[in-house]
Amino acid sequence: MMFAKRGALIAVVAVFALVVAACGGTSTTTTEAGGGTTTTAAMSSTTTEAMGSTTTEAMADLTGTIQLWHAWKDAEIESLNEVIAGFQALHPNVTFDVLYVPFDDLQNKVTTEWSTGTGPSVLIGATDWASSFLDADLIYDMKGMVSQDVLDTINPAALSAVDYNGVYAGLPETLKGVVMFRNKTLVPDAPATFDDVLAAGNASLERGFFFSMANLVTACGGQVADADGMPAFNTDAGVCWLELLNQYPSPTYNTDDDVDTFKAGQSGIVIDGTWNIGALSEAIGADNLAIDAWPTTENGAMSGVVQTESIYISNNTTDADLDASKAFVEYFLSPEAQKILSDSTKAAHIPAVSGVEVTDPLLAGAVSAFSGGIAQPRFGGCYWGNMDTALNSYFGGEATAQEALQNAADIIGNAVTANECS
Amino acid sequence: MTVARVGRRQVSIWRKARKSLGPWAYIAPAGIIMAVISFFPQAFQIWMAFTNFTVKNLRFNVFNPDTWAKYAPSAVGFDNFVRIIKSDLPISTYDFGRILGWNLSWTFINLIFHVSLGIAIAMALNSRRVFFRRFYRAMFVIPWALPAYVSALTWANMFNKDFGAVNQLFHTNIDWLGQGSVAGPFGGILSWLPWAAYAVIIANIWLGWPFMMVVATGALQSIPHELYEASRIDGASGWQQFRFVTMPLIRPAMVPAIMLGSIWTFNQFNVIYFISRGGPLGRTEILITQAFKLVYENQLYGVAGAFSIVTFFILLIITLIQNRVTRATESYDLA
Repeated sequence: MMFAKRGALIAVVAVFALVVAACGGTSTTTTEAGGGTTTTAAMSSTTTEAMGSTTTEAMADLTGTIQLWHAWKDAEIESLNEVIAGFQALHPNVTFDVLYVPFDDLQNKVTTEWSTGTGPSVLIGATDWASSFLDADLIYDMKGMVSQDVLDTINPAALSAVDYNGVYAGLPETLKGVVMFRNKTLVPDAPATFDDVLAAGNASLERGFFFSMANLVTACGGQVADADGMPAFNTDAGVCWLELLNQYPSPTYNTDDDVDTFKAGQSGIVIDGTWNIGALSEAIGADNLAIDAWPTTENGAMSGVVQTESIYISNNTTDADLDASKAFVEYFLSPEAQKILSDSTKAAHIPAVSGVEVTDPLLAGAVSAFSGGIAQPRFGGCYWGNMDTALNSYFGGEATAQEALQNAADIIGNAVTANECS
Repeated sequence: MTVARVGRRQVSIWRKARKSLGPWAYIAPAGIIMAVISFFPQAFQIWMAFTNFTVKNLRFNVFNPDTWAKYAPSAVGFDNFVRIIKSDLPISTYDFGRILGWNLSWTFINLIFHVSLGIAIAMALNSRRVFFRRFYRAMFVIPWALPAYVSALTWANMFNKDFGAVNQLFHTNIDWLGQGSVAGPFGGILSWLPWAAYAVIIANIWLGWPFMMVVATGALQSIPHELYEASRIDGASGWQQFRFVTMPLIRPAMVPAIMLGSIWTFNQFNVIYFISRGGPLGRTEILITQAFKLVYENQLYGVAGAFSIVTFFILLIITLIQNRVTRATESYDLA
């Protein structure tokens, strides 16, 4: 009997311990003798410790931990670590928990974490996530987060992409976009026209919605969505766009197959994002790689989407962590950090701020190609899947161009009206 | 009834309650954990199913009244259920009837192969004339033992049009998982099945038969050899031995395994999501992958809650029918 009572007591205590453990945080912070701090978190993939403190004692004002989440690739992570090290040289008492999350998972993971009061204090992610974050009340208005001097250095067009009725939903930190890459060994001359691309004979062109939508505007004179976010693509221009895509040689569809073939030296022209400059340079050699101006078409020119990537601060962040986060964002947008990020052998980012010269020929080529591209339209998430379905059904012979576009427009339009596109 | 009797009964109940304190304490950990991690989320999901819960309501916290006014979703009654059944969702590939039809076909086709292959191979390996039986059994269990998503990703690579092993092996150029084409290899009544449907079925057959083989092997090994000897003396052929000795005796083990297998296959998220992603044009989408996409891609949490409830009732009906037909939960009288 005594044994049973003791067992019952142990069981109750165990449950209590479990509940307490479950409700507890996942991170523990310990202060080291030297004044620096190290943070161990269950989700942390990289922990950068404070740099030496002898030279920066005067600036060691900030404390706190910055949890930084991103979806950057290997070469970009090298640059990111350099930026963090540069920041920690100024603020040695600030610690970082840096977590890589695959791009396809990042928005959902962050949204879920932030809505429950956890997650990163700082996020580097796509600019078009901003409306969803704002709807869910998950981020700070960045207007008051950094100084006006810093805001003044940001490319005005890029800044307008994050301006939601006067609220800055994140701050643009780099320009990225879809460009046309060429293997100079296989295709010595840059194709001036779309016919030249076809004549080259070894192009493999991506026609997924993201990679091809800019052509709707520049090659066919249409638009994806109107100012209210309602579909505007179901026009003759939309049909022209689909017919152009239908002529793409060796087309791929939202896969990396085209990039893999290009890397393997099996195709000479590929359409992809500037985030792959490093990987493509490494695969075929930087000297063999070129980013060309977009070729002209019958009624205009091909083009790619130009987008910004933004840096966000979660509105769960408070106190010392918030001060540290604000300082980090400001540092991130400084010419010093942007110079590090524009290293073409690493991140190869195109700065979104003025005062950083781009001298690398590939990056310069990208900047030049961007001038022929269009800024990514601001529309809700309903467009992505439904537009890809429209393209699929047309390319697969399931529907005519008009039917495919009209069907997508109907569904997207209803969803926008019902406020179901975040 | 006298006061004394009522008093005695109350004392008796109190004594029983005191006596059962120990057992209650022992099951309390599991009970509390179940309540926290299972019952509460389910109740919350049922509530969500009757609201227009979207990303705008994520800050809503049922335990924090401060969030109620600003973030609480609106009640929409059965609207989510009606929209699901009427295929009125903001997803152009969504068609409830087609998804349910494919989901049932997918389950049925897979189970036929899983069970027939599982029993056939188990019988082959049960023969004493087969050398290295244990080695083969161990090898054949590997597909089942591997994490399903690892197998699924491997198969996805194998079905890659340009670099995949399947096309290289057969010197073909089939766009197995091509998102742009719903065309399949066959016409007629099978014309609605794209290449991707065959790809996921092949992968899931490979994944699923070892479980049936393991169950069938266990059942086969429990059959006394004397029964086969007696049937041979009575002049039974091989088929008759299988029909009248093997089948009835492995049935008690196989029927629950088939029921379990049908539920697993019906909800086989990994194979569909990681190989075909439900494409092309949603033709290989099953209910569970669609529910995931409603949350993950469309962030329609209220609709997704309703969708899960619909899926639950479909599975419940299937299980009840199976149970009725197979009498799986009835005892067997072998005498």
